Amino acid sequence: MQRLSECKEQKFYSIIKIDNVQSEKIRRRLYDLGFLSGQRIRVVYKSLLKKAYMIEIRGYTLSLRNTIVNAIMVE
Amino acid sequence: MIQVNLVGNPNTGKTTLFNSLTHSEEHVGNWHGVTVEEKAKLYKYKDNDINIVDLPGIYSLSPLSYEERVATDYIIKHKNQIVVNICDASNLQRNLYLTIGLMELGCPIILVVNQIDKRKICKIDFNGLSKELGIDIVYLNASDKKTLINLNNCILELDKKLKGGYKPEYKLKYINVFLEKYNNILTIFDEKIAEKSQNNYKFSEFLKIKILENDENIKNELNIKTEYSAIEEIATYRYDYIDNLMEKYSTKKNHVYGQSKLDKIFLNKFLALPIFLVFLALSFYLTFFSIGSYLSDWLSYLLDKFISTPLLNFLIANLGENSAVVSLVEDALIGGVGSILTFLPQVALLFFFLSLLEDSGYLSRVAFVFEDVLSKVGLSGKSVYTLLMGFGCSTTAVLTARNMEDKNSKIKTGLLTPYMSCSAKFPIYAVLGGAFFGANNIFVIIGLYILGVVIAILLSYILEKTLLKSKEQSFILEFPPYRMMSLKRTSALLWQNVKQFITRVATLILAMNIVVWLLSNFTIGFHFIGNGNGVSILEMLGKLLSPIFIPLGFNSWGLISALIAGLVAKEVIVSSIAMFNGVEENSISSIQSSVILSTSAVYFASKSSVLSFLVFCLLYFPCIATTSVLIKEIGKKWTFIGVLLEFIIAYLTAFVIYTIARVFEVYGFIKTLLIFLTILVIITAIVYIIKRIKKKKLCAYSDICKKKCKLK
Repeated sequence: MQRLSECKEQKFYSIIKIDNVQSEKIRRRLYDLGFLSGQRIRVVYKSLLKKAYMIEIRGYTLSLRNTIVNAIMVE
Repeated sequence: MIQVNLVGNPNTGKTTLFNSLTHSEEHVGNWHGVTVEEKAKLYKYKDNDINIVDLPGIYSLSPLSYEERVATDYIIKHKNQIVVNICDASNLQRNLYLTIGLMELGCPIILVVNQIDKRKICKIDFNGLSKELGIDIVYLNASDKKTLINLNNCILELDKKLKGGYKPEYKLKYINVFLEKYNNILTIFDEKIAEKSQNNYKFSEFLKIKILENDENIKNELNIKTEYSAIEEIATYRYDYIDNLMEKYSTKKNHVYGQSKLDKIFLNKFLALPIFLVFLALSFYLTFFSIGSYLSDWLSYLLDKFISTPLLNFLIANLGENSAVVSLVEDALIGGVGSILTFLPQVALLFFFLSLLEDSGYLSRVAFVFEDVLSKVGLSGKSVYTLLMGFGCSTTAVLTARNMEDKNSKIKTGLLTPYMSCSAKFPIYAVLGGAFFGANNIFVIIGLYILGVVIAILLSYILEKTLLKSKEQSFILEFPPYRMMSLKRTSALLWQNVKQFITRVATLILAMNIVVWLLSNFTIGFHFIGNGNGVSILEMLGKLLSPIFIPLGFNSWGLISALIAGLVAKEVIVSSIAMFNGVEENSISSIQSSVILSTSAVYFASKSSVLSFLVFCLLYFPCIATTSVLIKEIGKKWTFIGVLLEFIIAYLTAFVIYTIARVFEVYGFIKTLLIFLTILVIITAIVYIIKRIKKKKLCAYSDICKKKCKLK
């Protein structure tokens, strides 16, 4: 098990759980967007200072801030 | 009248559909969250009045940002009205999640599948899907008006059924399973739920789900304090249902929405920023210096030759030279309004480039790149949108701050927007800078644009550390695919911008010019001055305030009056100057030459005072329209603080820049450089000494972890 923020770019992983995020609202939004356990997920790009991550999940692409990516546990 | 609400994920083409249905021209773009408030419009179809409401995009019925809250509240409140749920065909799977949410709420739904991109990515059996969901599905292209007939017919049909007593029934099997499981926990709220739902069974189910989803808004309304954590469970049920649907009714696809090979270049760690800066520089260059200024000169020539001169000759021939009407037309109309009108091509081009950025889908990538910097100053990459729109018009840009997730970031973004050089400030730079700096003006203008951005970022940093600490933002932002702009859309955009600009000039600017003309041509006893003697109202006021501006290097009463007039709209600063100096032609060069003539009401003592004046204009006050929007968006208190801050910052920055520039002017380049170097050396020495005294005490593990954290 590792944090998605520590994962390699372009490689697929599977979500295990979402750790502590700053608010319940954001946790719910992540679930609403399909960040559910067992879901295949991939980091497409990281920004220069690794503050922003481009993530691929469920056939679409979105960006997340590092604090959230840090909370996503994958394997 | 039939009520229809347009609901869908961000950037699925709701506003495009709205525009097509109602023949409107609401702003659209290839970006998440262009629409930030509900907009309603009536249209007629087959003798039926249909009132359609365009709502901000949402992902689910659990809002995160302010504009999502607007949409969610609206939908829940009007749950019995027809919902047109629009989905993007190339991202149907994720879009259906909201549809399921709407089904849980029990709205009468029409599902619109919008084919935005031309190539079809997967095949979907709409008939089968429609039967399974129990929802009519319309497949169309929102920007193509011909394909809308089916949708309109569908709306009429559904409305007929609803009036005949039809209640939508959706078979979502998981709801029962889910609610059954938590039934014993929920029974304590039965009374509250029954009261709220007024025995509407479907709605009571929805409320129960929302309680289990821990929805703060619903829980507050029902006065429930218990915390639940069945959020992941319900989301899993919904997605399992969607996966099931997709497996049955669509062919597998390998394409990923929002990914493109172009990103390899545009999001390359080292190329991304330079590419964006080149794009920005190029569009500014084309707008302000090459094509734009060429078109501007051309327009001013045409206006002068075919409108101003004949009109003026006609009036003088009939009324004589000293009449008030001639003065009004000559100064307020031709000198004032005409001078602004010549900027039409440039303003239209600027807005065009901003739209290009937005429509192409590149903007999300820009936001991604700037997240690194902006997250450090307590903003989010999303603020880029607001700040870039600020280059166009701060009034509309401030509204887009609603995209922000927490209140402090929203206030901050709103406060920073007026520091951007909006399109109304450009004429000032062009006219005054052009007169005094000639060909070097391009550097002055670039400098002013950068100054605005730098001050905004610094201010944001200071606010973040002091008054407006933002909670951490999530920066959840979907990447749209890149799209080419069609010729049709391009021309429509240009025409729209031209129209908007002309309307603004013909109404606000014209009215303001007449006011300024009245104030500058009549004495306090309402006596027309004309060519005779007497002190006008504006001259009195300007002279009264002018001592305040002596430290900034400009104090002619005309300039001060222009600044006052510019509170309403910044363009008026230029037109007032033209008026005070009695410029008859409306060309930029004639105003430019008039400001250099030191006998006029508006004059500058030196180049440094011009620079100081330009800086002051950039920073001193958001126009009245922006201020009123700010009051609505961030409240009176913060607007007041913001405006006060702007005055102070404008004054101080102008003072500093004036002083520095003046030193350069007086002592020459080399001496000044030496002076500043000496000052710099002294300051560095002091800082170094202080640091030595307060020598860092490193943490005990510093040898092992190599991070130099200070010991607290």
